[in-house]
Amino acid sequence: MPKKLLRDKKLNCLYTISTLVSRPDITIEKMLAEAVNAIPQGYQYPEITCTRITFHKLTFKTKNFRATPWKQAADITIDSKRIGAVEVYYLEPRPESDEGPFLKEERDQLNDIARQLGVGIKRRQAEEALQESEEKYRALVENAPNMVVVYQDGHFKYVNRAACNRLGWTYEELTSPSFGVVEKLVSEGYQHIVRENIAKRLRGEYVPPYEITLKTQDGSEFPVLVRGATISYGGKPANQVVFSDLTERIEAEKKARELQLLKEVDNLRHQLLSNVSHELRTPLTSIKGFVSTLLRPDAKWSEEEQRDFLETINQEADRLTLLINDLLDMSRIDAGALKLDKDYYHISEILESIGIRLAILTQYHRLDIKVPPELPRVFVDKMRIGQVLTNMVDNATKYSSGGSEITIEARLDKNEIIVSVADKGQGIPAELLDKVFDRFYQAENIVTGRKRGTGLGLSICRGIVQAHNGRLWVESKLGEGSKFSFSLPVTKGEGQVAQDSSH
Amino acid sequence: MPKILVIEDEINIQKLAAANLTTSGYKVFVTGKGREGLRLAQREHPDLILLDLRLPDMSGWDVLMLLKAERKLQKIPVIIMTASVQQDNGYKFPRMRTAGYLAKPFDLDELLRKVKQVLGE
Repeated sequence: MPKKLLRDKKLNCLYTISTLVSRPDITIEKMLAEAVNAIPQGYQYPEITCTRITFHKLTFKTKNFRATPWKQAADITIDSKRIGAVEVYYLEPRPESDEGPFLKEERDQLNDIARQLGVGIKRRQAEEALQESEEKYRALVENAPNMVVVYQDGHFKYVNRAACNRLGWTYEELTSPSFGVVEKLVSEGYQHIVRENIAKRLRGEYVPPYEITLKTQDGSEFPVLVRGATISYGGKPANQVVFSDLTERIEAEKKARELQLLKEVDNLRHQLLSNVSHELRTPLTSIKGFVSTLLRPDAKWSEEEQRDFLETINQEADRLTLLINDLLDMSRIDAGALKLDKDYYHISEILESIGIRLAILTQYHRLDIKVPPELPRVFVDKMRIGQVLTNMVDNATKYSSGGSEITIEARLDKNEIIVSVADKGQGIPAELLDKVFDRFYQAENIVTGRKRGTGLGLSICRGIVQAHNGRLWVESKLGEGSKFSFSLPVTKGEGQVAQDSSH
Repeated sequence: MPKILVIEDEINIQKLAAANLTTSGYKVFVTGKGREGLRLAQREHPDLILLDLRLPDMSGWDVLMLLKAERKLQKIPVIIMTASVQQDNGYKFPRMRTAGYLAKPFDLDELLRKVKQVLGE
């Protein structure tokens, strides 16, 4: 056979092998199975040439394969490690065996083939490893409980199953370039934030996780935490975003808060009961005690003493009545069952109605009343607002020394009338300002060193004022005095002044 | 004449105890505050202390603890008077022996009987 023809055959064979090993989607098995049949074509006598390729535990043979003494072999190596071999056999001795069973070129050719196969296998193995890890990653992302998406060029390039399920759209819909991701999926109020953050991330800026609300296909909304990163996708930067559904977490937080509230209410109720019981027992102790005292067979009380004991019993019975009234008021307020007998009154009319009580309460103080006659009237329950004022003045006398000034003031502030009672007493420390409205809380009185009343007064006052859609608050400076104020709304139609309507 | 110290912030209960115990032949000291009570105990060395648990300046348990911490005062018997539903706070301090409890509203007879009994009459 002419040398030229032989060279062509050899080149053809090598070309076939090299195309084979660089085919992008070929597996190692397929590559070797095809190579084994291509190799004999490069030999001088293909009809009597057979080939075998071994690779690890795999063996590939030509159909006519038979091991004979006329053999040529080359190792397949990867990084100088033997991983297999290519063997070529002649089925019969070569006709002109001048150079041994094989031509020298044929030996070189086999080495070339083995080297090519080694390179091909190595590349395929690397590719398979990469593919495998990509598949693992993809499976991980695909089956992740969180919603994972890849956003690029204004639409989703990829969405995982959780995203499709939770959002209620199909994969095709979500990844369609005309879908309109932000408009369709992000709740109105959050769209600008999302747009800003997408732009930021594409500029390479870091965006910390943030919370938004997403819309599903049926229009229902749910809160999510958005965490994203800039990745390379198809050679271009893209946003890879993970949405964690916060519905359950928020529900759980809500449940926990409700439970906490219930516990607090329960504690409060328990506290209240124990306080009520304590407050009822105290006057009862005096009443029972003094009655027994008067009945003592072994004691002889003077007339003066007897009178004193009876007065004390009377006093304590009054206190008990007061306490019971306060408890009733409190439970009415709690139940929202406070009945208000409302009419239009000027603040001075209310003060007049409690004039005698105020005079008695402030007999050791100087009472200053500043109520401008031109104030509009308010629509209130006169008795109840009178009760609030009486209570506030009573408190003022309790916590300020005799001879000091107590000021009742009323003024118009926009569409509210503000009524305040100020004293020049001991004042309330800032940390106790909120406590004074707590039920049964009684501040220690530095003037008398004693407590008086039920400890329910301010809590009831606040309840009454709130039932009139007003507010009650306190300002105080330690050592300078306290000022309790409440507001009453002035509604249209009540704007006329008191004098105009004297009947 | 045995001396009794009454530490109780309710003025009418102070008066109640003072009138009855004085008539029964005791010398009575009263105060509405824990601090003042401790001072009086130190000064007068009473034979018995009647102690309310709710005091304006400190809790009755604190008064009791301070009494028991002082060598000269720790032997003085203490009767606790309380209107609280729960009295079990005392079990937190098992070593603080009290001479008894009086739950408000108490019987006058019960008070006088207990006082007599504690004073060993």
